[in-house]
Amino acid sequence: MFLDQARKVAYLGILTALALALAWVERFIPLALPVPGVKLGLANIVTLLSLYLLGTKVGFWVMLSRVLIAGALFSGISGIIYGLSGGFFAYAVMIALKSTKKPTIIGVSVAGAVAHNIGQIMIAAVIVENIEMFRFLPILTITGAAAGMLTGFAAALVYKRLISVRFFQSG
Amino acid sequence: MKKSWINKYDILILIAALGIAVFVYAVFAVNNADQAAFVRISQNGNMAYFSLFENVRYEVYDNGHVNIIIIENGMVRMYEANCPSGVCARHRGIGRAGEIIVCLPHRVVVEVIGGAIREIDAVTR
Ligand SMILES: [Zn+2]
Repeated sequence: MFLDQARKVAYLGILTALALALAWVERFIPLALPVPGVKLGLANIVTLLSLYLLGTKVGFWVMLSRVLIAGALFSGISGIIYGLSGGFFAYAVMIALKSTKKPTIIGVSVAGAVAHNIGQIMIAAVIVENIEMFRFLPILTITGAAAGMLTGFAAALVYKRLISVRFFQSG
Repeated sequence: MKKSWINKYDILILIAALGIAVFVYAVFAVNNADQAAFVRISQNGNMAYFSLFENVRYEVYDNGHVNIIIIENGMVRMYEANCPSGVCARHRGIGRAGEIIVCLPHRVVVEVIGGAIREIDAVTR
């Protein structure tokens, strides 16, 4: 779908704001597991929607802006480092899988969430200089898959609505 | 006709994720068949070893970062930490070889490890 530059920038701003709002809301959802890195990843709903509705480039900028701003607002430099490592890895896996046109948005979301957590473990292992961090991989893979299904389902719901009302068409 | 929400490739992705989890879990399980014996506390590459069966209170200070670790009755736990999330201090006590508590923001890792006394001597010497 064709979008002129101004529209793209406007959507980028709206979607980044939405992702930030979700990242903020998520801070108030307590998760029982005392494992670093377990989270819902609600902002991934917005990354997925950006990727599917506006394409690879806009999706990338939405993800990058959200990680940088959310890190600056909520978690500081270490949050940015973890967010970026998880974000880049997840995004690469998601565009690769999406380009095969085989899995649905839900499968892409699951793979992205799992890749996000594995990316964070890799950077954590480097930062704490301890390979034992990979002990968290099984639990983070499973919680990531569960969270990915949830956010993927939410993204699929919103995607279908937006497509049916032709919200993101230029005109 | 109603299209289903997920397809077989989604299922394959889920199975692959589960497979990765099981595989890594198995690798660590095999490597940790040892009897729990020691506690290793590390930060930024510095390590301290303790017997799991002595009672110890160990405090790690680093640029205003505080982590207090307590070893008691064959269990070790993060008694207190001033990290932002406090995830490490909410972790239950650990006492089996291969279990680990991590304070990511402070880069403090507490591990229960197995093995005999002389292996530890070899490491610390
Ligand atoms: Zn901590």
